[in-house]
Amino acid sequence: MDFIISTLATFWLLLALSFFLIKRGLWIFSDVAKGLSMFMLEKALGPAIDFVSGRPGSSSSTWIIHGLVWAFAASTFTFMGLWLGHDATALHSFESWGYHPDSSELIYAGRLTALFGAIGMLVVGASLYSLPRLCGTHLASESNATLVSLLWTLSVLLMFVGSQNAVIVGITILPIANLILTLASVALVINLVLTVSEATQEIPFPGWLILFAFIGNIAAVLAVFVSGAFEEGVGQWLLFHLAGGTFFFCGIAGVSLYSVSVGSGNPLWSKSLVAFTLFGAVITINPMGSTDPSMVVDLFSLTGNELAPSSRDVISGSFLMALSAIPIIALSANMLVTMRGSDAFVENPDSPGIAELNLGAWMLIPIAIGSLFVQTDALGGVNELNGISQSLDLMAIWLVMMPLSVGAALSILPRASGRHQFSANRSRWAFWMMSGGAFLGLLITLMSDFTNMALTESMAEQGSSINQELRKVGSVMFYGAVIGSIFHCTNTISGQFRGRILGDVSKASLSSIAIESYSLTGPTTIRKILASGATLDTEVSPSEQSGEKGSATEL
Amino acid sequence: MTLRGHVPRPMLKGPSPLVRPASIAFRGVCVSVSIEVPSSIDEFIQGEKEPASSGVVVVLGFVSMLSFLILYGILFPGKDMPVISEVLPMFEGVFDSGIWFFLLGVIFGAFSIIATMLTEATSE
Repeated sequence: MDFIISTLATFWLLLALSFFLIKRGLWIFSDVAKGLSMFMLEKALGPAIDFVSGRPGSSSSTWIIHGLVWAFAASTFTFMGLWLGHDATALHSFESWGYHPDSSELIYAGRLTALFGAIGMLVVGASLYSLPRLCGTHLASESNATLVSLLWTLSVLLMFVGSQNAVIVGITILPIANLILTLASVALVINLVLTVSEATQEIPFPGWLILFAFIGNIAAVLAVFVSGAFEEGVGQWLLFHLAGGTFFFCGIAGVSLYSVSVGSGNPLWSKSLVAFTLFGAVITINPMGSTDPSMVVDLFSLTGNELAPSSRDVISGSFLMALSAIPIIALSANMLVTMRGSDAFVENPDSPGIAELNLGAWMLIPIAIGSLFVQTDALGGVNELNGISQSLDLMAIWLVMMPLSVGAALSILPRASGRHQFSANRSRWAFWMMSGGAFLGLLITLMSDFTNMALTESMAEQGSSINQELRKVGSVMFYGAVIGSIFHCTNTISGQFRGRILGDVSKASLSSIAIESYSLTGPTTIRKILASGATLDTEVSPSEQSGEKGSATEL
Repeated sequence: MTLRGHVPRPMLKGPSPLVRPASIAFRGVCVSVSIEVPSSIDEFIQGEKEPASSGVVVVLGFVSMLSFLILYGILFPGKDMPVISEVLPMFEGVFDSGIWFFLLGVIFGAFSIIATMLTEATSE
């Protein structure tokens, strides 16, 4: 039976219905529904809601800080998983405590915490700030959004536990984690829909991208269950990629497009390209992600089945994945051109996060093309490229989704909290460590995968030592991502308390010896300006030289 | 502490209240003046921000320490390091993989995040 088109038809229908209801409301029941929803978000929670702050921007800051802490955890698990890939007994001393760490389990924990903990929480945090601004209103309930962040964090914590030990005291952990995550998602959807209902202006396309990220995720789950495809391998594979294409791709695209414009100070280059990104993202199948849908099987407690699509499913799936090149290229191009000529790079402390957004936009196309080949190969049942699937999945997480979500969050956080990052210098180090570590580490691991595939294909009797050496170098390189995430965490937390206040006219100097401004009285060389202690952030102001006779300065 | 009659050095920058008026006075139109500049001011001055290159000094110290450890091995071949050689065997079979060096860094990072949270929240 063909599942892809029938499931997608249900998915598109649900999205169209959601769009219609958001635009038109619930006729005479709108006010009742709004009042009831607000009651459920705040009063119904009783005293719990009074424990959190309802200050504007507080929910966004909370989600972003949680996300950065999860980025540290995710990078650590991924690093450990990569290391155990070449040294399986490295952590055998833990066995005395009854814990048996395994490479694949740690990488699985890294993927779960990176996707739902780091990227998910950063995207939600950035969305909670940007969507109300795009609608010209305030978030319906800041307190509820802040409180829900704790629920979400609890679910990610359970995901980590479940990835290491699936059943504890007879209870399967991952479905419970998913249930809590769904509860938090529903609260967020209600909060955002209520916010949109108070919109005072036409919602721009990035706003719709954010909205469809949340609604689309729930619609994808409903569509797969309504069509009955959840029992089939192809249905599970489709749900994995629909969730990736809606919550992750649409969410990241929405907040990145908002941040890239706000951060660089340039208007968004093309409205049509954002429209292509939006419609392309919901109509096509995003190829990024693993070929193995076991994450969906575990989270929904399904029976894992082999990916055995019919010939029509292969054709439609491959065609829709190829079509996804349109929204991906549109997003990348729109972001890169919007950033043009604004001197908004890593050296500029007034534009935090732009360097990460730049990296993510550049890496988007090559990794999407690579993923397209791997997914088409897997869907067609050839499985020749299956050996690089895991590394490519990690590259999509650490070189596309993580930089874009971290970049958007860093750009939005000062606006939400009212304070800049604590140190521009540490922020710069964090960027280079995180991006350099992830890029080099995963590229070298990918090289090792290719070597492994070549050896397997040639049916070599014994493995090559270079393969293990490459994995070793790759895992050590990836450690840069761990250090970078530590720098981001400490810098952001300190910035919330001691960072320069937003709107403060005094420029933050990089060090005690850096000068803030340099008066240019006549022709000079750049060497002389730099020799006087100027940095790239020093303001050079031309001033005329006076011929008046000098006298003592009056105090 | 007040310094009446003293004219602060205009090229100094920092948090000192003495320096601020001078830096403001010299911003804008550059006027060539001849004033008496004291050779020193009787006040301790320290920058609030850390120069980026100061970390180099710490790294230099660390590299020197490693060099001396290597030198010890060359000068006294076959001799164990004092104290360290007695402590390390205690961890044999536990930290017997290179990953532990990296995990120590992770543990240090985790504690630095927790410490930052606690100190920043309680410093006011």
